Amino acid sequence: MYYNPVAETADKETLSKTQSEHLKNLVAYVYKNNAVFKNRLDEKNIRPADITSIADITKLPFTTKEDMRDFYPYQLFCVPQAALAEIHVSSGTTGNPTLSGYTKKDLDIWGEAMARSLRASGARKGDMIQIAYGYGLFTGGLGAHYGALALGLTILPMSSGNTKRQIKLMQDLKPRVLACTPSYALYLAEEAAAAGLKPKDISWQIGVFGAEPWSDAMRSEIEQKLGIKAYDVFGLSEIIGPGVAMECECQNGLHVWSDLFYPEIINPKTGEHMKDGLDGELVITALTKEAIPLLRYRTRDIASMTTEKCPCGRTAPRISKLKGRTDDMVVIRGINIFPSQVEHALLQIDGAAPHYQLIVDRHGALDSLELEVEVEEQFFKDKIGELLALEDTIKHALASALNISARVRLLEPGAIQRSEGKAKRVIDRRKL
Amino acid sequence: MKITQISLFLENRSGRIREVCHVLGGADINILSLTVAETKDFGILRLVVDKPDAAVEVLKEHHFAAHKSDVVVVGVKHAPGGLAHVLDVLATAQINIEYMHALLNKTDDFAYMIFSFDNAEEAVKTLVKNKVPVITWENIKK
Repeated sequence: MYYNPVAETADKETLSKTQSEHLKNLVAYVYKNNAVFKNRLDEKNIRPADITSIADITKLPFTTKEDMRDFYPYQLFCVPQAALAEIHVSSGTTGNPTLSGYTKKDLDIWGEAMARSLRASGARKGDMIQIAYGYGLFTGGLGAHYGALALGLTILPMSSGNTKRQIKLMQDLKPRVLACTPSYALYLAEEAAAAGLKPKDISWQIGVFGAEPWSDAMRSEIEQKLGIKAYDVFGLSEIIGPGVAMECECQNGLHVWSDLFYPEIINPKTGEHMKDGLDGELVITALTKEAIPLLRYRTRDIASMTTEKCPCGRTAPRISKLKGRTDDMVVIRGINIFPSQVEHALLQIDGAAPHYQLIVDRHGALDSLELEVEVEEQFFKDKIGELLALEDTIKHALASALNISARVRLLEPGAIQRSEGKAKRVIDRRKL
Repeated sequence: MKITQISLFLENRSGRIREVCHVLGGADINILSLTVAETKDFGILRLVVDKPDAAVEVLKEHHFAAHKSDVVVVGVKHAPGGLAHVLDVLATAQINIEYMHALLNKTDDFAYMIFSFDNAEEAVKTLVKNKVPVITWENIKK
């Protein structure tokens, strides 16, 4: 049932004690071994002795993506290069890439986290796993590999690509588990169908998919086409790679292995903690790593978290599927609104995200929100009634996604200004 | 028997229909009928033009959301009770009308009315059966 029953089912008190121990050690460790973190703590007048419990984590400064870029390659590390067993590099879209480094002990932590994750999907010692995540600088392949090794699975290290070969070997060797990105899973499904295979001819019974956002619609499609149970795995290379969090058989949120990777959900503007169940920015602290443990790393991903008991018995808190990015957040009538939530809501209506803009204004004492949406090809209806119904549908989708009522205005195509880079989704006209 | 109509989504701000007319005129396209259905914020402009495919292309080039749909053009006797008779025929056959509007008078005896039906096939059958003239594209284009 569990890879590590003691850690995974530890009660609240024990878990809290473990986290507190780890945090105390972590702060003392980084203070001693990294100049950047030492300076940051000194600036805030924080001494390692000030950290006595996990609750004191709020005293610590955040680490950001900019830090990863500014201090590239080694300035955030706590160990010299010679002590590193492995390095991974993730592509940087602007400026420097992000370096993640691992000592041998860090690789064990990675294996532990990923083994727990694989076991949570139902994979058992002795199963064969086809790892079709890319092996190399990308953390997907090797992360799954270390987890599979720790759990005692038979590894078929396919990496990605060579799709025909993947299908042939699946038929010959009959692996029970498939690990790859959700989009590659669909690709494999296409290839299998082209080879004349039906879901019953496909040996994979469990899929461990991640590394990119994927919708419930996509999950259903994958499960149907491959005859597989598809699980969501979450991770990021800045923390360790895949395996930071994973769905259990209940598939009601992803358990974050909080004794290793401590999660917080914060208000991105104020840094304060959000209550259980409310959306905010996911912040993670790698409590036990040696090479490059980050303090309160701001992931810029939006999620909610719950510490409510899960029927599976694991006490690790659960985060929701990621709901977007924190860029462009606005606060309206006290509610945090992320444009990506709007996009997500609009996507549900027709499957293609239209051009939109949120206009925030204030009339008297109350904030107002207006959503302008361009009427593109697929939205246009030749009946006034149907266009008004579309306005209504959008209004309702917004209300249920954001918990806020917004006026909806339909615009002609091209009415919203295009931009070279990221679209300006929010126009805030309030003079605050 | 079905005629191509072009519908356009327009915001309710000044100059929109004017721009459409300039775009069509500039592309040597002649407007044969025009009607606007409006709400507070937007309207749907419906046109019958002599070159519908060319019109859709040039409108799309100018970033208008242009849509083609089918309408039926009916010859209504140009005398009191003319339209009432046509509507009786349709009502008896339970044909539902989405909307309608008039085209330029082509002859002294008949006014041309443009109808959008839920079920155009049924509508045309009914009209023909009741000897209500359904006008062809050739006769409209002239």
